[in-house]
Amino acid sequence: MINISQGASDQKLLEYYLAGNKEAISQLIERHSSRVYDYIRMMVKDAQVADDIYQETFIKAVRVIDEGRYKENGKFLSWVMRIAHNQVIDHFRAEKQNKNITPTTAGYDILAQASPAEKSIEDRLVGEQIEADVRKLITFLPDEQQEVVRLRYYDGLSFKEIAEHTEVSINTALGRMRYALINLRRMIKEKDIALE
Amino acid sequence: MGEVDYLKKRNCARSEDEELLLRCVVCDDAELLFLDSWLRDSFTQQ
Repeated sequence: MINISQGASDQKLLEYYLAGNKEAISQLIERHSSRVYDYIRMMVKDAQVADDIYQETFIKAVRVIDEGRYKENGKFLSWVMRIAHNQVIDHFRAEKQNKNITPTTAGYDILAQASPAEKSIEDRLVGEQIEADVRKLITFLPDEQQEVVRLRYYDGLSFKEIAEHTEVSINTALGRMRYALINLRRMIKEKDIALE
Repeated sequence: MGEVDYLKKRNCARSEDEELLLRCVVCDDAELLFLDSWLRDSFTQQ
Protein backbone atom coordinates (compact mmCIF):
# COMPACT_ATOMS: atom_id res chain seq x y z
CA MET A 1 0.00 0.00 0.00
CA ILE A 2 1.44 3.36 -1.02
CA ASN A 3 1.89 5.78 1.87
CA ILE A 4 0.17 8.94 0.73
CA SER A 5 1.74 12.26 1.64
CA GLN A 6 -0.67 15.02 2.69
CA GLY A 7 1.02 17.31 0.19
CA ALA A 8 0.43 15.03 -2.80
CA SER A 9 -0.98 16.83 -5.83
CA ASP A 10 -4.47 16.09 -7.14
CA GLN A 11 -2.90 14.22 -10.05
CA LYS A 12 -0.82 12.08 -7.71
CA LEU A 13 -3.83 11.23 -5.54
CA LEU A 14 -5.73 10.16 -8.64
CA GLU A 15 -2.81 7.99 -9.71
CA TYR A 16 -2.71 6.36 -6.29
CA TYR A 17 -6.46 5.77 -6.40
CA LEU A 18 -6.31 4.21 -9.84
CA ALA A 19 -3.45 2.03 -8.57
CA GLY A 20 -5.82 0.66 -5.91
CA ASN A 21 -5.45 3.03 -2.96
CA LYS A 22 -8.97 3.86 -1.78
CA GLU A 23 -7.67 6.32 0.82
CA ALA A 24 -6.38 8.51 -1.98
CA ILE A 25 -9.82 9.31 -3.38
CA SER A 26 -11.08 10.09 0.14
CA GLN A 27 -8.24 12.54 0.59
CA LEU A 28 -8.89 14.11 -2.78
CA ILE A 29 -12.58 14.58 -2.09
CA GLU A 30 -11.87 15.91 1.40
CA ARG A 31 -9.40 18.42 -0.02
CA HIS A 32 -12.04 20.00 -2.26
CA SER A 33 -15.26 19.25 -0.41
CA SER A 34 -15.59 22.65 1.24
CA ARG A 35 -15.11 24.54 -2.00
CA VAL A 36 -17.52 22.34 -3.98
CA TYR A 37 -20.14 22.46 -1.26
CA ASP A 38 -19.87 26.26 -0.99
CA TYR A 39 -20.29 26.55 -4.75
CA ILE A 40 -23.45 24.45 -4.74
CA ARG A 41 -24.83 26.20 -1.68
CA MET A 42 -24.26 29.63 -3.22
CA MET A 43 -26.27 28.60 -6.24
CA VAL A 44 -29.17 26.76 -4.64
CA LYS A 45 -29.37 28.73 -1.36
CA ASP A 46 -30.86 25.68 0.42
CA ALA A 47 -28.69 23.51 2.69
CA GLN A 48 -30.70 20.31 2.24
CA VAL A 49 -30.72 20.62 -1.53
CA ALA A 50 -27.02 21.48 -1.46
CA ASP A 51 -26.29 18.34 0.57
CA ASP A 52 -28.09 16.16 -1.97
CA ILE A 53 -26.43 17.75 -4.98
CA TYR A 54 -23.05 17.56 -3.25
CA GLN A 55 -23.45 13.81 -2.82
CA GLU A 56 -24.60 13.37 -6.42
CA THR A 57 -21.66 15.39 -7.67
CA PHE A 58 -18.98 13.27 -6.10
CA ILE A 59 -20.78 10.03 -6.85
CA LYS A 60 -20.80 11.03 -10.50
CA ALA A 61 -17.18 12.19 -10.41
CA VAL A 62 -15.95 8.93 -8.91
CA ARG A 63 -18.00 6.94 -11.40
CA VAL A 64 -16.42 8.76 -14.34
CA ILE A 65 -12.97 8.13 -12.87
CA ASP A 66 -13.72 4.44 -12.23
CA GLU A 67 -14.94 4.01 -15.79
CA GLY A 68 -11.69 5.45 -17.12
CA ARG A 69 -13.38 8.43 -18.73
CA TYR A 70 -11.61 11.13 -16.74
CA LYS A 71 -8.82 12.69 -18.78
CA GLU A 72 -6.18 14.25 -16.57
CA ASN A 73 -5.40 17.87 -17.46
CA GLY A 74 -4.44 19.19 -14.06
CA LYS A 75 -7.85 20.75 -13.45
CA PHE A 76 -9.57 18.28 -11.17
CA LEU A 77 -11.29 20.94 -9.04
CA SER A 78 -12.67 22.86 -12.04
CA TRP A 79 -13.89 19.56 -13.48
CA VAL A 80 -15.73 18.62 -10.30
CA MET A 81 -17.22 22.10 -10.00
CA ARG A 82 -18.49 21.83 -13.55
CA ILE A 83 -20.18 18.56 -12.63
CA ALA A 84 -21.67 20.32 -9.61
CA HIS A 85 -22.83 23.17 -11.83
CA ASN A 86 -24.55 20.78 -14.23
CA GLN A 87 -26.19 18.96 -11.32
CA VAL A 88 -27.56 22.29 -10.06
CA ILE A 89 -28.91 23.16 -13.49
CA ASP A 90 -30.59 19.75 -13.68
CA HIS A 91 -32.11 20.41 -10.28
CA PHE A 92 -33.53 23.75 -11.39
CA ARG A 93 -34.90 22.21 -14.57
CA ALA A 94 -36.65 19.59 -12.46
CA GLU A 95 -37.99 22.34 -10.24
CA LYS A 96 -39.19 24.50 -13.12
CA GLN A 97 -42.67 24.72 -11.71
CA ASN A 98 -41.17 26.57 -8.75
CA LYS A 99 -41.77 30.30 -9.27
CA ASN A 100 -38.91 31.09 -6.90
CA ILE A 101 -36.13 30.18 -9.28
CA THR A 102 -33.53 32.89 -8.73
CA PRO A 103 -31.59 34.88 -11.32
CA THR A 104 -28.48 32.99 -10.24
CA THR A 105 -29.63 30.02 -12.30
CA ALA A 106 -28.84 31.97 -15.42
CA GLY A 107 -25.87 33.96 -16.56
CA TYR A 108 -23.09 31.50 -15.77
CA ASP A 109 -21.60 32.38 -19.09
CA ILE A 110 -18.03 31.78 -18.06
CA LEU A 111 -18.58 28.05 -17.73
CA ALA A 112 -18.10 26.05 -20.89
CA GLN A 113 -21.07 24.04 -22.11
CA ALA A 114 -19.04 21.03 -23.22
CA SER A 115 -19.17 17.74 -21.35
CA PRO A 116 -16.55 17.66 -18.59
CA ALA A 117 -15.49 14.06 -19.18
CA GLU A 118 -13.42 13.37 -22.26
CA LYS A 119 -11.00 15.73 -23.94
CA SER A 120 -9.61 15.52 -27.45
CA ILE A 121 -6.33 17.00 -28.62
CA GLU A 122 -8.31 19.82 -30.16
CA ASP A 123 -9.96 20.47 -26.78
CA ARG A 124 -6.53 20.63 -25.19
CA LEU A 125 -5.34 23.16 -27.73
CA VAL A 126 -8.45 25.25 -27.24
CA GLY A 127 -7.90 25.05 -23.50
CA GLU A 128 -4.34 26.31 -23.89
CA GLN A 129 -5.57 29.21 -25.99
CA ILE A 130 -8.16 30.12 -23.37
CA GLU A 131 -5.47 30.13 -20.68
CA ALA A 132 -3.32 32.38 -22.84
CA ASP A 133 -6.28 34.72 -23.40
CA VAL A 134 -7.00 34.96 -19.68
CA ARG A 135 -3.31 35.63 -18.93
CA LYS A 136 -3.54 38.54 -21.36
CA LEU A 137 -6.67 39.87 -19.63
CA ILE A 138 -4.88 39.79 -16.28
CA THR A 139 -2.37 42.29 -17.68
CA PHE A 140 -5.24 44.76 -18.22
CA LEU A 141 -6.09 44.85 -14.52
CA PRO A 142 -5.03 47.85 -12.41
CA ASP A 143 -1.55 47.32 -10.95
CA GLU A 144 -2.66 46.54 -7.41
CA GLN A 145 -5.21 43.98 -8.56
CA GLN A 146 -2.77 42.47 -11.01
CA GLU A 147 -0.27 42.05 -8.20
CA VAL A 148 -2.64 40.07 -5.94
CA VAL A 149 -3.70 37.93 -8.90
CA ARG A 150 -0.09 37.10 -9.72
CA LEU A 151 0.76 36.35 -6.10
CA ARG A 152 -2.25 34.10 -5.59
CA TYR A 153 -2.47 32.22 -8.87
CA TYR A 154 1.05 32.28 -10.27
CA ASP A 155 2.96 32.11 -7.00
CA GLY A 156 0.38 30.20 -4.93
CA LEU A 157 0.50 32.50 -1.91
CA SER A 158 -2.21 32.45 0.76
CA PHE A 159 -4.25 35.60 1.41
CA LYS A 160 -2.29 36.21 4.60
CA GLU A 161 1.00 35.90 2.72
CA ILE A 162 -0.26 38.26 0.03
CA ALA A 163 -1.17 40.86 2.65
CA GLU A 164 2.28 40.56 4.23
CA HIS A 165 4.08 40.64 0.89
CA THR A 166 2.22 43.74 -0.31
CA GLU A 167 2.35 45.36 3.13
CA VAL A 168 -1.36 46.01 3.42
CA SER A 169 -4.03 44.82 5.81
CA ILE A 170 -5.69 41.48 5.15
CA ASN A 171 -8.95 43.32 4.44
CA THR A 172 -7.28 45.48 1.81
CA ALA A 173 -5.75 42.40 0.19
CA LEU A 174 -9.13 40.65 0.17
CA GLY A 175 -10.78 43.74 -1.29
CA ARG A 176 -8.24 43.94 -4.11
CA MET A 177 -8.73 40.24 -4.79
CA ARG A 178 -12.46 40.72 -5.00
CA TYR A 179 -12.24 43.64 -7.40
CA ALA A 180 -9.71 41.69 -9.48
CA LEU A 181 -12.07 38.74 -9.84
CA ILE A 182 -15.02 40.99 -10.64
CA ASN A 183 -13.02 42.81 -13.31
CA LEU A 184 -11.68 39.57 -14.76
CA ARG A 185 -15.17 38.14 -14.97
CA ARG A 186 -16.38 41.23 -16.76
CA MET A 187 -13.55 41.07 -19.29
CA ILE A 188 -14.01 37.33 -19.82
CA LYS A 189 -17.67 37.87 -20.62
CA GLU A 190 -16.93 40.86 -22.85
CA LYS A 191 -14.52 38.71 -24.85
CA ASP A 192 -16.97 35.81 -24.91
CA ILE A 193 -14.45 33.42 -23.41
CA ALA A 194 -15.88 30.16 -22.06
CA LEU A 195 -13.55 28.68 -19.45
CA GLU A 196 -12.52 25.11 -20.24
CA MET B 1 -22.63 49.12 1.35
CA GLY B 2 -19.07 49.52 0.01
CA GLU B 3 -17.06 46.39 -0.64
CA VAL B 4 -14.41 47.14 2.03
CA ASP B 5 -17.12 47.90 4.59
CA TYR B 6 -18.74 44.59 3.79
CA LEU B 7 -15.49 42.78 4.39
CA LYS B 8 -14.90 44.64 7.65
CA LYS B 9 -18.33 43.71 8.89
CA ARG B 10 -17.58 40.09 8.13
CA ASN B 11 -14.52 40.35 10.44
CA CYS B 12 -12.55 38.65 7.74
CA ALA B 13 -9.25 39.80 9.17
CA ARG B 14 -9.75 37.47 12.14
CA SER B 15 -10.03 34.35 10.10
CA GLU B 16 -6.99 32.19 9.63
CA ASP B 17 -8.73 29.73 7.40
CA GLU B 18 -8.00 30.23 3.72
CA GLU B 19 -11.39 28.94 2.62
CA LEU B 20 -13.16 31.31 5.03
CA LEU B 21 -11.15 34.20 3.64
CA LEU B 22 -12.10 33.14 0.15
CA ARG B 23 -15.75 33.21 1.16
CA CYS B 24 -15.20 36.81 2.20
CA VAL B 25 -13.77 37.57 -1.23
CA VAL B 26 -16.54 35.97 -3.27
CA CYS B 27 -19.39 37.07 -0.95
CA ASP B 28 -21.80 34.32 -2.00
CA ASP B 29 -21.09 34.85 -5.70
CA ALA B 30 -20.76 31.31 -7.05
CA GLU B 31 -19.40 32.53 -10.36
CA LEU B 32 -16.46 34.25 -8.64
CA LEU B 33 -15.83 31.05 -6.69
CA PHE B 34 -15.69 29.09 -9.91
CA LEU B 35 -13.40 31.67 -11.49
CA ASP B 36 -11.01 31.48 -8.54
CA SER B 37 -10.97 27.68 -8.80
CA TRP B 38 -10.33 27.77 -12.54
CA LEU B 39 -7.51 30.29 -12.14
CA ARG B 40 -5.88 28.16 -9.46
CA ASP B 41 -6.23 24.99 -11.49
CA SER B 42 -4.85 26.69 -14.61
CA PHE B 43 -1.96 28.70 -13.25
CA THR B 44 -0.91 27.47 -9.80
CA GLN B 45 1.71 24.72 -9.72
CA GLN B 46 0.77 22.05 -7.15
